[in-house]
Amino acid sequence: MVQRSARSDLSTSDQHRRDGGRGDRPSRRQPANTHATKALLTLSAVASIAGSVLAMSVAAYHEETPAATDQDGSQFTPPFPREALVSRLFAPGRDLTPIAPQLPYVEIAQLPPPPVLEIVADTAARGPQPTTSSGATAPHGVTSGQAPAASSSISPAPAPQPVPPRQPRVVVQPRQVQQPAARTRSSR
Amino acid sequence: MDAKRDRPSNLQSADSTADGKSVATFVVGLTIGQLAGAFFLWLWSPTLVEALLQERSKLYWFLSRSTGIVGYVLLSGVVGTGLLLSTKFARRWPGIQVALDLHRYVSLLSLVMVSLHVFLLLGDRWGNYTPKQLVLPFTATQYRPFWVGLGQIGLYSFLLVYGSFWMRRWIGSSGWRRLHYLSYGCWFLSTIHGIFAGTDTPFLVPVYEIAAGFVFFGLVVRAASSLFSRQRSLATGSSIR
Repeated sequence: MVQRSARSDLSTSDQHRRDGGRGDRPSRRQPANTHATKALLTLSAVASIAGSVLAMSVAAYHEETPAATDQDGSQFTPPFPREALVSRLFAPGRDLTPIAPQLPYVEIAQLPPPPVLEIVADTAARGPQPTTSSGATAPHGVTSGQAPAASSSISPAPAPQPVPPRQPRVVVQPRQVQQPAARTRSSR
Repeated sequence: MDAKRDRPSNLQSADSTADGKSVATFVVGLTIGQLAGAFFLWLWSPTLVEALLQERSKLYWFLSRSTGIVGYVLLSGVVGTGLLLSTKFARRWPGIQVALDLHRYVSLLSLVMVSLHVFLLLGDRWGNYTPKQLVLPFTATQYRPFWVGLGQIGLYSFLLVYGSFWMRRWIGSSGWRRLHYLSYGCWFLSTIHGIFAGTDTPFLVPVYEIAAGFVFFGLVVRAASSLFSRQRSLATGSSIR
């Protein structure tokens, strides 16, 4: 009796070693949460792999994609396709136009500076004269946020027939002309 | 004496059958899960999937690295929990049987990940590994053959330790236990392989630190538990006399 109680007093470690690490309960019954734990472990492993692959893809994309130059001359890396989609979906005020493929960004960087800048510069140089003349008509309700007054103040040159090929770029002009108009108004 | 210590053979065969079912379920589940994951990834971002499946894609390389990292983390968990299994911790929570079951399952999961880590390299067009190079240690001369070879030896020792679950009826408990000491070497070789052959080592330093800390913690607890139980059994023996 004494010996038996002494045996039962042996540490669990020794008992476990005696069993060869198999435990002392021969029953194969397992609680249900064992299976849930296994499933969770497997899912976590697979999710970790998927997450790592995504992270590596994004990192490799940013490493390998050459920096493109924006129209204002600043360098940027074209966004990863998924990031671009997410930023378009969640950024307020963005239009949901289809995402352009990445290649055109690079092509833009390789193109010479667009001639539209020259047109704007010329317009800016000639800007003060028409704005000054329209400045007299400011009491008509022109506020700082409104641009159409400036565009209406410019007397567009009569477009010769046929229409010049760069007509779409000229559309940018009214927005650029707004700046001298505002400056003139604030200087007064 | 050894025969007394060993469990009855009918229980062992029941274990083997259950293990076979468990492995089959695991492999089928993992395959279905990966296919479902690939499908949902394609739904989520077809552009991304197309980019990954290009001819010059590095998908195999990324997958190999990812499975290597996950396999190493799981292996560290297996070694650490294996050390804690033989102490009172596992008996109190979650119970020896459950802890042992999870220990074996995570071993299997880790083994699958590490095997994927090796064999996915066959699809990598940048490394151009041959099956022979992947099987024979120190023959892959493309990239740090010594450190890669250590990883291969680590995998073989892991296979041996995992296989010892099935070999127990032939090698006995003491042989099984002795074989299990190989898991320390396996973990050490894997760590060395990861640090010196891994391309992500700068980012994975915290992972190595945590893994080493966990294994070291298990070792300390195991040693302390063994020392304590020896003293206790000595004290009990002297009181009986």
